[in-house]
Amino acid sequence: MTARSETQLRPGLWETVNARYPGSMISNDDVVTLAPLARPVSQCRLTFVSSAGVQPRGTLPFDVVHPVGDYTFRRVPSQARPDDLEIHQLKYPTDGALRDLNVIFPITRLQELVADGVVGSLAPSFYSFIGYNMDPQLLERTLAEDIADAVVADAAEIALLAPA
Amino acid sequence: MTVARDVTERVKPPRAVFVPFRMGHHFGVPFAGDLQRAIITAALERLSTAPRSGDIVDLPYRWADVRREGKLRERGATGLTSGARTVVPDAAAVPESGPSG
Repeated sequence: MTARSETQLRPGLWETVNARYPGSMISNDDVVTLAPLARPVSQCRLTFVSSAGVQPRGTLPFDVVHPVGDYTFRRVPSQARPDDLEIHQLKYPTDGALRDLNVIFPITRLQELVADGVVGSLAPSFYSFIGYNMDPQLLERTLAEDIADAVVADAAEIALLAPA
Repeated sequence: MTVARDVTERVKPPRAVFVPFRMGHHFGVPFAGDLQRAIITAALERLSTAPRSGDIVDLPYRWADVRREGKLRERGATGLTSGARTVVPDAAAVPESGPSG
């Protein structure tokens, strides 16, 4: 064990949510095999996957009040500007993101990293869904598989995930 | 990227970077582009430096500091103060620990 700079602001989150919604929280017994990076990040194509409920303006809003969740995802063009996007999500504080989307969906920063040569390129789409999904098995069989297939079809080599 | 270390310890992703930030603020505070970038690059570094699957890296930030400096930055941008010190982690100071902490 090593020292930490600070513990999480809301401790016991997994236990708290799972007590309120039994079986809703994911728990895996084993780690997956670590996939080695085939070439430098500066030559790789990156995608971003987020449960922040970010979507292009004018697309069908996520169903944020469905009792068991919304298992659909939205494609977000990786060249979009923050002003092109909006958030449909109720389960996390969006006050920061509504002023600067990059605090939860750092699309501008990722575009800059490509322009500066730190990242090779961006996949054509990023992917977004909402985190309020009460059936983790259904999520894994449908939403997660659908996004994984789309990421592979995009030929992305790196996926940065940010569960909101 | 995670702000919920205990959830990440249960899910066990192959590579993870934890910041002790408020939910919905994984990359910091509004308009702190250098901080947002530093967090992303710290995560990307794990692609080549993670020694084994399941490790979680704790980035050396404090939410109170990040929030305070964000406010100073915004006040500086509006002429209320001269600006804020940039919060960028010292890579050598980044500690590591396993999924169970």
